[in-house]
Amino acid sequence: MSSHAITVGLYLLFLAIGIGLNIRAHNPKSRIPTFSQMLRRIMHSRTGRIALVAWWAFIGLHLFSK
Amino acid sequence: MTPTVSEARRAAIAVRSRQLARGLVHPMVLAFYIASFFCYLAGDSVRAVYFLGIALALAWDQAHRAARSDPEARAEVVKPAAGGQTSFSTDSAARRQSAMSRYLVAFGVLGLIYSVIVGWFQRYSIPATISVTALATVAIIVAWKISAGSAAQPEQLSMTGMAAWGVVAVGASAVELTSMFLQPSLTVSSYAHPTLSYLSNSVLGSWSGRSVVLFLWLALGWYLARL
Repeated sequence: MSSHAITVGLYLLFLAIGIGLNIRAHNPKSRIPTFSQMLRRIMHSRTGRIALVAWWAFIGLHLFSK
Repeated sequence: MTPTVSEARRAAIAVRSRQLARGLVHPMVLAFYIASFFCYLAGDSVRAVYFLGIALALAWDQAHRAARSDPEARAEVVKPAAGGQTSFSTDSAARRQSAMSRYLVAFGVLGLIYSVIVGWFQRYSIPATISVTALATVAIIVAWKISAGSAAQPEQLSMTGMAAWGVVAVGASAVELTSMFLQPSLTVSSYAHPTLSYLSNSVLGSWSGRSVVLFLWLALGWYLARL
């Protein structure tokens, strides 16, 4: 197996774990917070809210801006 | 004995310095330092400056607000931001979400038009740079102006659950960093050790791919604004 495939596989693995966690978190008995709850917790503070917006802005800048 | 003016001033400076130091080591601020450092290592000085600028601005903002609410309020809560907006109470968050829901269709159509037009420009071209930078700048300025810490108590989340999400975030970041360091150099991409940016190149090479990614980027911004 090539290192390219392993690396891509690892990205997909973490993506799958994230999706799995979120699905599990929606079970009422689960103690795992949903993705939205995690983001809301971070954005509870002004610093967290601005920081997340700055990360979002960075994604766009990184992918499209010089 | 009553302290002199110079002693009071020294005490005020000392308090302010402590607040600034606390702001400089806030976890979110630290994340921006780390990002700045790795951008610098990768030879991307513009983005390194962007991250460092955001980190220092957040640290200053924290210290500034702590000074206004000192000595009681240590957390970054309660005080509305400059501009007189209300804090993010449950009520105001509900109002914001309700207002955003009303404009969902209009913003969806505008977002689609934006994505199709800007997606037509080549990546890193001047029109694409201006279009994306302008929108990102407006978003940050608006967030800065209207954001406030919530006066409500934060939702109590399980430490184990948060740790699980932390493992996912750290693990994915570790794969990205490992790939970056296994490249021939930090400024040269590698097929064998692809970073997420490298993998996105194939999608962003076409007009349709760029438009879809731009629309998803806008949708993510909308989602964050609703939270």
